[in-house]
Amino acid sequence: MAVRISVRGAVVYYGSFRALDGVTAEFRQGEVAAVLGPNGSGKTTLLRTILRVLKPKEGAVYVDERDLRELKEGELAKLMGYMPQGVEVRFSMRVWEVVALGRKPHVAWALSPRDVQIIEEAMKLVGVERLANRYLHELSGGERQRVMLARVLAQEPKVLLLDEPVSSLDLKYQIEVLKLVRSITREKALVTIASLHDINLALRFADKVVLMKDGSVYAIGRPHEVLTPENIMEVFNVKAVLAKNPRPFIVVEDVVEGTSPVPETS
Amino acid sequence: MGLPNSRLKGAFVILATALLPLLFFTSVSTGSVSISFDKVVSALLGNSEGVEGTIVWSYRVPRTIASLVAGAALAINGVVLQALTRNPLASPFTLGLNSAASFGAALAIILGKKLISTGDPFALTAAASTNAFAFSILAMVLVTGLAGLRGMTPESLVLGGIAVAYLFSAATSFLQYLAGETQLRIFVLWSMGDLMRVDWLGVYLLFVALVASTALSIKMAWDLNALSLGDETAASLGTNPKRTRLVGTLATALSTALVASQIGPVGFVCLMSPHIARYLVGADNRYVIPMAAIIGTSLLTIADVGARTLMRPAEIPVGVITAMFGAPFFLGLFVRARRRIWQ
Repeated sequence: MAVRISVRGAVVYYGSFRALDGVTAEFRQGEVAAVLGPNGSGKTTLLRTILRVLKPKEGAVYVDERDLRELKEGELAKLMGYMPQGVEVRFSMRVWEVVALGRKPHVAWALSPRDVQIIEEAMKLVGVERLANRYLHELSGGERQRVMLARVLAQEPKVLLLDEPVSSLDLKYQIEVLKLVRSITREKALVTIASLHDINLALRFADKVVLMKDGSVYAIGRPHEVLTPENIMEVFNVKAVLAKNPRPFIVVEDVVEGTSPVPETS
Repeated sequence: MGLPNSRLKGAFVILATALLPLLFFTSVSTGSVSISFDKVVSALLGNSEGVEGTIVWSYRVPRTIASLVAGAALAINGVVLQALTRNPLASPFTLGLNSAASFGAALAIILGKKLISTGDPFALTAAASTNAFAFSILAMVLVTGLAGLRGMTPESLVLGGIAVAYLFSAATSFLQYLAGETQLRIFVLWSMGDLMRVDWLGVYLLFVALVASTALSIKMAWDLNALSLGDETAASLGTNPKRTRLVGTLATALSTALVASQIGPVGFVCLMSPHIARYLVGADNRYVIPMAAIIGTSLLTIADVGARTLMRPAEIPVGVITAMFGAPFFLGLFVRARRRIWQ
């Protein structure tokens, strides 16, 4: 089954605040799409709309031309996996108990040996298998984030929705996790949509970039076409230059004058 | 089940279940009248003649079954409510159910107002029970209604519940102020909760409560697990958080209302049992639910044995025992094992 996610003219409100202002974007399988933009530009809102946690007031989300609203809860859970930013677990849970939750859409009561195998593989993939018996709240932020990714992978979804999946990771794991996400996306022909803050990680690992500003898509396309110094200046209010070493990368030099809330000192 | 501890947990649950017959015999053999062990056994085996037979079959057996059944139901209700509200302190008290039950009973005992008339000569007990049930249901409607207005979030349930609890407590205080000496004494005894008053009809009603709690909690076990990661993640795992919370609260409240109508507002069993169960078997509600049920059963039954023996031949209301021993025990658990049960 081919999977394509189409967001068409989605308008989403939080109360009276228009958080998504007519967003249109297409996401294809086998592609990692990075959603970038300043704080409050609607990245998380877009992910939550695709997940159907938020309902668009206008426009809609389609999965292979099927309106998302037609899907049953169980169907949706087998289709999409979601990794939110920071999860707070109230009752102490062990790592494998958290990862095992990924199998929920697939089991009625007991976990089969195959389910257990999938859980163990997911833990191995993100390098938390040795933490299996530890309590989630005893782990570092980065370890916890990898556990959450393992949980999403154990769910075996067709669509991966990752909200800042590498924000707490150290340099090595940022690269490793994004490499893993990319290879799984290719191998299993997933649709992956990840919000990111790091422009250079997006340049390096994304097949597509959605650049957002004030709840709208400012630019969408291939990373090097979207992440230009001009666009970055418009969206983030920072001066940036493109460099090569040998891969292209962006160096942020300063904020654009008159846009900083901090008074300049010289 | 290759995952760590799964087998061990299953064994734990089975082992604990095996202790239940022992509890049953201990409880049936205990009471203000001494009956020798072989006479208890012969009465249980069907030789129900004589005073001993009557005492065993009309009082001790229903009472024992009541404590076993009510303890399990209360414990399961605690597990479900704590998971639904993501709050380790949640219990039927948090939802105002027990305050409402007490108010209903006070209305019957103090003002003689009853919602449903029965031809029962022991009308006071029956009226207190039916009123307690009716007002618990009223509280349930109020709390779920209030929470529904605020999106059925964990916080809205707890806040709505606390508001309703205060409302009914205040109304009950007012009734107590109006009450005469005798009425006050009857009401205070009622509100402490005890198992003395349970007859065979009560036992059947408690079974209804236990069946409701068990069926619901088993159906919801995975959903409750999913909710522990937050509403959005739960939704992405196929759980509808609002619907789960509404259905779960309604069924739990119904079960709690039945229990409270029969044995009064007995505290601590519903709060403690889930924590002890989590301490023993971890966070997975598929194991927590049966384990908590067994612990609740044991706690209430042991407490009731204590209630009948500590000041023999007098009896202490079981609610007093659960609170007196429950609170320090819980405190100990809180201080020593906090990190392993909740954050």
